[in-house]
Amino acid sequence: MDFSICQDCLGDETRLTRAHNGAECKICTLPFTVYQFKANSKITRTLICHNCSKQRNICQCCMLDLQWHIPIELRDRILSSVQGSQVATPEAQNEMMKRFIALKNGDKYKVGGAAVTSDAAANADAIEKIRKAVDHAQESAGRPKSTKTSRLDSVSDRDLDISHLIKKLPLKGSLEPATSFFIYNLDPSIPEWAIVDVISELVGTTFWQDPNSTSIAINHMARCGGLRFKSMELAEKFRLALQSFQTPAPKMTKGKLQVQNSKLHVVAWPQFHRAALGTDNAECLKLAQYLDKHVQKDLSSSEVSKSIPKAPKVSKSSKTSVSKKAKKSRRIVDIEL
Amino acid sequence: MAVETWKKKPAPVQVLEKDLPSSIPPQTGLTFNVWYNKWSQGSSGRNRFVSPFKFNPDSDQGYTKGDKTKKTFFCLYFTKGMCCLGKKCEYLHHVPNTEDVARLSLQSDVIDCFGREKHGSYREDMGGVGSFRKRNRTLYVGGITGALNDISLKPGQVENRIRFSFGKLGPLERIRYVEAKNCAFVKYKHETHAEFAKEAMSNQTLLIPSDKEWADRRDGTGLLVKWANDDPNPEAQRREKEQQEQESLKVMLDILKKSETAEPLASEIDTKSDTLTNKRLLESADADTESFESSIFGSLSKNKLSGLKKLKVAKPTEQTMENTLPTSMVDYPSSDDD
Repeated sequence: MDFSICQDCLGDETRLTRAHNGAECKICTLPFTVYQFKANSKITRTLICHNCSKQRNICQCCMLDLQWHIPIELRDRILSSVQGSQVATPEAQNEMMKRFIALKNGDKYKVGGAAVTSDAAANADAIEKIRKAVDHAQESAGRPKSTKTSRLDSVSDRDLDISHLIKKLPLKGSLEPATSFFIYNLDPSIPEWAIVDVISELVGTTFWQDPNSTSIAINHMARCGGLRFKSMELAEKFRLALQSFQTPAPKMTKGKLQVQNSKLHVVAWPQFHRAALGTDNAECLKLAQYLDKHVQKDLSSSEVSKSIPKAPKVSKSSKTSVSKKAKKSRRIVDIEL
Repeated sequence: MAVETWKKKPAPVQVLEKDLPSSIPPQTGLTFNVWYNKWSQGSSGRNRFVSPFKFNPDSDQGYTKGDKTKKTFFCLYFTKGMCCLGKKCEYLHHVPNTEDVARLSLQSDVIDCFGREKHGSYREDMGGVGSFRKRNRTLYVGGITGALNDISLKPGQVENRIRFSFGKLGPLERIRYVEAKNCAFVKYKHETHAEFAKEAMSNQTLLIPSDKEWADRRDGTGLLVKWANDDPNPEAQRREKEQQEQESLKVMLDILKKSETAEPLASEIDTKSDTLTNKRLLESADADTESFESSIFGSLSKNKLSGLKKLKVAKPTEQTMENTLPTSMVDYPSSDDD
């Protein structure tokens, strides 16, 4: 009896078919005894040899850690973050090296995090450490995080002319009836599907695939995107569902779309033009910088409009707000935590 | 989320069986390798081609036999646009949705969404099924010039075409077209979508029927869709790292939850000294044999085996036996003895 298969794979199956030297191990490329069984109405077979699975403390079928039931890479990452030392399971690329590693007895020789999860004492210890780490993380999550946004790396200040792009963008526009919209103040970590999800929820279309509702083009590099609806009806629904805010400097209404932790700014863009989002690297970065400045302008003006009515009420708070504003004025970030 | 339209109609037959090409590819070498279904030796001719079939997400989707029998895998032929079985197919005929992704993720990472086993490492050309070591959600899209039959388009137009065709195959995370290298990187929300899109878009053309080259599309070479390597951009790497941290925090919580449920179980077992349980034992420190401690899970199968052997013994008698012999916990043979 020489296999290690986790409970999830094996289920309550008691009959296994054995084939000596039935296949090549996917890790060490040596032949090994394959076990085949039918659990949960599907046929499963072991893919790696028992020795390799013991060295890594993983299931021979699903290759997840036997103790924690997670992939090796994830296990090593968790352990190295918890223990403070680098834990990794290096895999040989060379066939000879793979076989050489396979010679070592898996009972004593453990690779990477397997040493922890295969040992009861070390495992309990690690779980204790994880508990501490999670407690710590939850504590720090309670405090407002230092607002870190991905800073725009200083682009080489070549004089790149992007006026032809800006000309096509509706930066002076406001939120008004149209079938297409321009989105900016977009954090590059926001995936496209998150935006699509939010929009389809607002508009009430079925799902991302619906070809009759929306088409969206996001340029993460330039931190902006375009959005187009097929019908005026949908576009109106979208426009009315948006939160809006005023930019007083030139008095204008702009839409705010809350996606994950940040708020995207939305304005109408009657002449939707994909090429205006920029194409090559430098162009995109420059455009992102330009838009960033624009957003700062939007926000700072709206901030002023908010703080003005506050001021006469309590002089002290206004002072603090001013001092805060002074600090903020360097960069205002529209992020809700 | 409303019911998707494909659930209401049966999957259409994409190609008639008689129209399918022969399973033996046209002769390009001297000998035919029956194992790899390829010609070898001699000068292998042009092996890039444009597939005569194409998956059409708007019309080809529908329910099949596989939906009734709760299959989890997708039809590879359907993805390539050449399934001749239609609704009689045993595999699923639709674009993976969130339910499918959830069901597939319950299974292991070792098998892709078509039920094929993945490999230990990527192929040298990053093609093929891929590796089980990494959850890769990004595809490399190359061969764009060939897929466009050398017509020159603006970079924005090329990106639009890529977005249009890849966007229908799953929720996108981001698309980046690199004009200088004439390639694109498409990142999906889940690995399943990337697997699906990879098969659906390989060897396809990027031409659309309104192009005047549409009739000659088979003269070009299709798209090369492969797995992407890690993005070397520091910004992207930072993003990736943040995501990984969040993921590991989530998993850490899961582990804690699991260990909390496992620990009372283990202590319960200690008191009852019931060695026969199908649940995984979290060994307490008093297990003394060294080999035992070093690998709990080498012995899991052994545990299982002893469980199987004693299955016929009636439970109550076994408990009394266990009670009279409290030392029975200690003499576990190590799994390597047999």
